[in-house]
Amino acid sequence: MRPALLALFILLASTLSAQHKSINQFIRHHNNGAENISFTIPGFLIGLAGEIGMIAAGDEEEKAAFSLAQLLGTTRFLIFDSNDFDTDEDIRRLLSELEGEHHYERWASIRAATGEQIELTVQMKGKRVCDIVAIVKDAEEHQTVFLHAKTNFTAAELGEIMNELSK
Amino acid sequence: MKFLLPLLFLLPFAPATAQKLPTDAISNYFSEYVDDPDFTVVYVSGKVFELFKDSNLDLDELDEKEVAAVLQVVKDIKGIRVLHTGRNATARWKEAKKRIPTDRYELLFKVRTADGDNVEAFIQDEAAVISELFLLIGAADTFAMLSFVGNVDLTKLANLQRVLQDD
Repeated sequence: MRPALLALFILLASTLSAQHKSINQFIRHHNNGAENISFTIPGFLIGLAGEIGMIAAGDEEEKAAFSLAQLLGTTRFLIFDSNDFDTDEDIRRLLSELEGEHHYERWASIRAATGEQIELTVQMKGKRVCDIVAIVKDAEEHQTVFLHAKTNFTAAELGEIMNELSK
Repeated sequence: MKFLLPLLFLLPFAPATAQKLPTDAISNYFSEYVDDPDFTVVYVSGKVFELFKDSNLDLDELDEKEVAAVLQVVKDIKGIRVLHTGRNATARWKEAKKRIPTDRYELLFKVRTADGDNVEAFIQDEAAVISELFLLIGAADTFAMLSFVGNVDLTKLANLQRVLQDD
């Protein structure tokens, strides 16, 4: 029984690390260059900032925005110059890996003729959204912003916040 | 036996591949033009609509009946795809028109203005349920294709129209 549990644990760990390997590689590769930066904000810090923001917020809209931020867990940001890399191909490869091998689902994809691009892909466990990857490419500023956030929310929870935002 | 083993190996992958084959008209165009820099490309997954379905949306502009009717219509939509370009619009329009499989698509309506603007709507349907609503828009300076894939129930559309008219 013990070897079976160990094997299951190793399998689970390898699946998780493989998924993050694609993201880690993407971040590591695009983090090179004077203007290219990446940083991680721990989930507890976002939660704390969200709570402080909720107290300090003046109107309902701000409160709703802070409660939306509280849905995010550990979040990694990467900002890089699109011209430093083969950005289109790199984005395509990352999304293909995440969606082909790690069961991410594309929720939205927008590419304007002017070159702006937005990609949103998420990983769900049952009805809960557990990982979000968002990529925004600004053609004019030739800058790409990559975000990977751990999350744990359902549609109903998101709907409640959207209700607040729409009021 | 030599050929049987590879076949057996490939068999489990066959249904998954089949599911991913594009069945809607715009999928064919979409895959062709998704990387064409002349085109603006938008894709929104049905999962986004599912979020709204599960959410308790409270929109100021709509009352409960209207929100319910809208959600009834969008809840079965599996995705929206849009292609748009302002370059070589007339040529694109003619090319797209030629490639619509008229045996699978039924013309819902057709509008042509004196200025030469064209709008044509096609449907793929079974009984009263539309599996795809496909709009083709052509003018001298614009060409667009919009595809709503999913189960668009005509009776639900009629109900939405009635509810909106009542108010």
